[in-house]
Amino acid sequence: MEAINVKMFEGDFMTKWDKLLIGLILVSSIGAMFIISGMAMNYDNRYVEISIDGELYKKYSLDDTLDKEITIDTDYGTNVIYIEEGSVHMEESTCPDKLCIKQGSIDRPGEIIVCLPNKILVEITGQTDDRPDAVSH
Amino acid sequence: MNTREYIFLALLTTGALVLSILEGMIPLPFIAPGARLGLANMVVLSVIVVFGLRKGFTVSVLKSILVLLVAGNPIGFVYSISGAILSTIVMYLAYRYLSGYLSLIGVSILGALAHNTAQVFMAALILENMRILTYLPLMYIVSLFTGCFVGYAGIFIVGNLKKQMSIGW
Repeated sequence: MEAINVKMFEGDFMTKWDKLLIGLILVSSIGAMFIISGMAMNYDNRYVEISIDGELYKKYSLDDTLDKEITIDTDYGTNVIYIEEGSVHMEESTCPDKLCIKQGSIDRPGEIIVCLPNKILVEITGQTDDRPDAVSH
Repeated sequence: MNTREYIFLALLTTGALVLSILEGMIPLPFIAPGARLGLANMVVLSVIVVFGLRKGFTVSVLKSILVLLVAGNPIGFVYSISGAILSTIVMYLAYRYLSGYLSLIGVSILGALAHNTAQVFMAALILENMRILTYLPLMYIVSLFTGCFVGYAGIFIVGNLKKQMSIGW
């Protein structure tokens, strides 16, 4: 075996521009994640919205007492969604990859469960009360 | 294009197909719908560097079609083909115009980002819900790691491929 000849490779392994690119993406992604989770914080009421193929199918007000099992039968397949103790998860699905079940349970506004093959989207939305927030001067 | 090149590209396409199937067997924690390791990107990246845009494009589109035939997942095909097209174009442009600055690692990271972007936009279009785009930042962070890995492997593959071709052409 001959020793690895560095010259046969394309340039350096990692240039300073690579590192700059990585740093830039890391910082902006983490920043974006904070902004997204920050937007989800300021809500008083939580709702569960289930949509099929882009159209709203059902909407529930989510509180800790709501216990529900929702079975959805469409041309794409069958899904069973559980709502219990203020959180929502996909219990069963006929989709091939079962990614919707692996997504686990969600309970905060902005979080979603997607089942792409069956075109089902479960999202938690929030709404602030109509009264304006207390602004003290 | 001579026969030898045809066979080489056919073999590389098969390699990409096998890598796609293999990565489907690796259990991964759930990150976002459609998030994958992107191992087949190693092949596409190397083909773009060694053979150019048109052949890289052919290999990546063919790979998507072949995966559709093997896995039989039409929804997955929509994501994989849109990601394949955009990431091939982005990787080519990055390699052509930025290779003075970026190594293949940077090129492959840009390709991975493009793949994710196309895929998530496709999902948002199909489900008609823009909230899916909130997956993007997390997917970008994950694709930094896979992009690094793919680019690192690409450096070795390109080196060996060029050596091989210079001997036997």
